[in-house]
Amino acid sequence: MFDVNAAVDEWVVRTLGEQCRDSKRAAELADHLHCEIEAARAEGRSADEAFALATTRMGAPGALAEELAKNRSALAAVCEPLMREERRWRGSASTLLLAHALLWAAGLIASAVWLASSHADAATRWTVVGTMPALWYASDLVVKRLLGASPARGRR
Amino acid sequence: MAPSKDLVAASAIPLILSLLERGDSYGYAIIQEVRALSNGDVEWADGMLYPILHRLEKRKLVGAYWGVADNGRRRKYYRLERAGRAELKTQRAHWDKFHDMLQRVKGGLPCST
Repeated sequence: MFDVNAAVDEWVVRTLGEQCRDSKRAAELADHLHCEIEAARAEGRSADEAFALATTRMGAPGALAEELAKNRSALAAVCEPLMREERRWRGSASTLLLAHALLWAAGLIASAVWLASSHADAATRWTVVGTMPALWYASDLVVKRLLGASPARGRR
Repeated sequence: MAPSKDLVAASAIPLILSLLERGDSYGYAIIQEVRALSNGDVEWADGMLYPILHRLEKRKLVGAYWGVADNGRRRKYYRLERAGRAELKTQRAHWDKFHDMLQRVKGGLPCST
């Protein structure tokens, strides 16, 4: 059976993005969509027909998202390109893994060269060496999050 | 006869402000009211309304608050603010001016009267 609530939630997420699932904007759009669906249902349409009609009236998700994005706050305006980039990355996991590996390889080489050539005292050297695993672990967590896999799941 | 897209867009803000002057309302109801007022000639794409409402909210011409609809859903309501009333007054004066000009031309009145 067609689940209207799930379909509305999915449409809103597709329009505004996963990060806006629980936002006020999402609640407003969902309420509007439900109103349209209820009106179509009152005219005798089935649930899936009513949903299709309501989403057509709302407009294409891409165009609607662009229109809605015009009024976002300055912070959201800055975040939007980053989130778009994140969504793009999600689609190409191998690129992200490769970029992560290359970044770390470059970082390790650079720090090794620096340690060999600098006249830094022992404390500084040990701080650099000690910080690297923590940084690596943090960036690994970020990458796994971007790929939609938790570290725990990744270890299984 | 359905008005042009440009005219629909130009009239959106004064229409929204006018409807909110009558009382607080929400997106879906505003669209339905516009449809009814125009006897179905003016059809706003649902998605077009919210960017305008949010812009008006940002400009503090309208305010917004959350309530609960009869069906228990959260609903965002809009109300006209003081600045919105002033803007509506200005917009009405502009539209009246154009309406008056058209009537004068149609009635064949001299331009200087």
